Amino acid sequence: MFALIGSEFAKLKRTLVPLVCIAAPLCAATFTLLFVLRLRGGEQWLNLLGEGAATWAFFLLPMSITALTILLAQIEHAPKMWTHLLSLPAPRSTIFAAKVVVAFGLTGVMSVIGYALIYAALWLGEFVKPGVQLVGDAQFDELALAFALMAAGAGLMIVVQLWAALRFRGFAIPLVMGIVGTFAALALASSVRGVLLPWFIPTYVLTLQQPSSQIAIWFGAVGGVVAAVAMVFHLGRQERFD
Amino acid sequence: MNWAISTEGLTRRFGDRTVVDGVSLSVPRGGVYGFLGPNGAGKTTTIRMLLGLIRPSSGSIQVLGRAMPRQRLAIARCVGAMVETPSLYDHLTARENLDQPRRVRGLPTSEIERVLSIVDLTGDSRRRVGGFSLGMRQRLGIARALLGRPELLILDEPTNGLDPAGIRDMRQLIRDLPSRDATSIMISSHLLAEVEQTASHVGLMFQGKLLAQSALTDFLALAGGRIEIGVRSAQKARQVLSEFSDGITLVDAERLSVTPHPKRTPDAATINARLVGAGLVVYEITSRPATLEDVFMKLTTDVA
Repeated sequence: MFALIGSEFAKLKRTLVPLVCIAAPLCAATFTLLFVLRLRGGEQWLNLLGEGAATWAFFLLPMSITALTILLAQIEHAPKMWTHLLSLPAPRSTIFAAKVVVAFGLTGVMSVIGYALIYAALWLGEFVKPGVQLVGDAQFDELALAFALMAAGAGLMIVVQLWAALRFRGFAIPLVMGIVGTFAALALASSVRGVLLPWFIPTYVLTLQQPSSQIAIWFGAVGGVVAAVAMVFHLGRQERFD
Repeated sequence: MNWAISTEGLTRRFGDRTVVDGVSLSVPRGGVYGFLGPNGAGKTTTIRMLLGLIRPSSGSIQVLGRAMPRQRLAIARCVGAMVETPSLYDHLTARENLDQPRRVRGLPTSEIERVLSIVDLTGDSRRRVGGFSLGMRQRLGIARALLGRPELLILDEPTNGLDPAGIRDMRQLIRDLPSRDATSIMISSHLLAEVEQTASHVGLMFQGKLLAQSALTDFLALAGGRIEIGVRSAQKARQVLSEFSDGITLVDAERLSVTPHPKRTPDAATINARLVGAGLVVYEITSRPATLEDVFMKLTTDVA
């Protein structure tokens, strides 16, 4: 399994995956910076961090997961690639499980980069915009926890997107799912039914003080694990004719 | 006999269509088995079942003495395969493409150098595969199949897309492997002349069925060769020779082809004497051994 995970990461060399992992957090940081540059005076760290986290949770996290999972799957959708992969001396389930691990890993990496770049953007904004002053507690622990929970809550979304991307040779279906899911999540903002939509679940981190939000995050994380097991079982048993 | 591959009544259906129908293969160890058949005969589906990629509808498979699919992992460790055109990651170099299966097979990195040198790609090992010619890709596919010195190599149409020099190199490689690494090889192909030059044993698939299989020499004996005769009047010569064979065909006004009958057809000298005795001018008698194409045409025409 470790060999498969290692080879999955090795395959990403010279693909767009590293670029997505940098570009998505950089976008979140850029939006945050632009917000700071509009300020005229002091502002609470808490509010600005909230802006950055919301941009990440509502838009950039689901879109980047859509892109990442499509890229991960498209590597294998070349003609005869499944024939090669599935004839390797490794259990078929581990081949798909390795993909899940890589998708989770990349989401984690993006989250860490996003966390760091949002702070960098805030400090840069304070530095370049005269008169702007960030006040209050910098909330390092709180934002780290928020990003970690968003990544965990995105588990179900990651697996659903990856499942579709691996199942279908073309990228149109997972792409449409990702776009529709992301915008449906925006439409569902503040709805209690959002928990049913995997793309919406990470946004519950923004209202974590509510018990229902904590349940939603748990649902996303545990649901991701359960869906991953189902995906590995389904794809592992499927006969592929590429 | 100790078989590299042995199947019993192997059948695969897709809906109500039977693509592979009761195939009982016997691929000997240490030889090159040519798996012949036209496109759509069921060769690739059979190979997919041998590799555990798809399940048979019925029948059993033994590969290297182990049951497929129950012992797929143990079998996969000892088998290298290339199914049709090799699938390669274009964005990676040749070496990186080999590194992925090497890791999964738990082999040392020196194995990459070994297989690259066998297929003569050492000098291009750090180039991206996206810029490789079809022949280079095919060779890299073979190199990947050779990782770990497999006991059995299954190659589906290995000469597809190769130029004449590439085909010659591939032929030599396939001939050398059984003695070099004690590898048993199964080559699937529709290029009969190519298989005839490399295989020690042959099996012929047609419309999902295995029509025949045996050692190449026995297989060629199924068609029995031909005697080609150049004579001034082929029509008259046919009448003269009609008692010797039922298989006499006019090639043109001055040429006949005689399919020898095992008991009735005499040797070339006797045929010549008979024709000359009938007042015919004979200017050529050639005995041609059977080719795979002859056997193929004979067997498939019988079925069709």
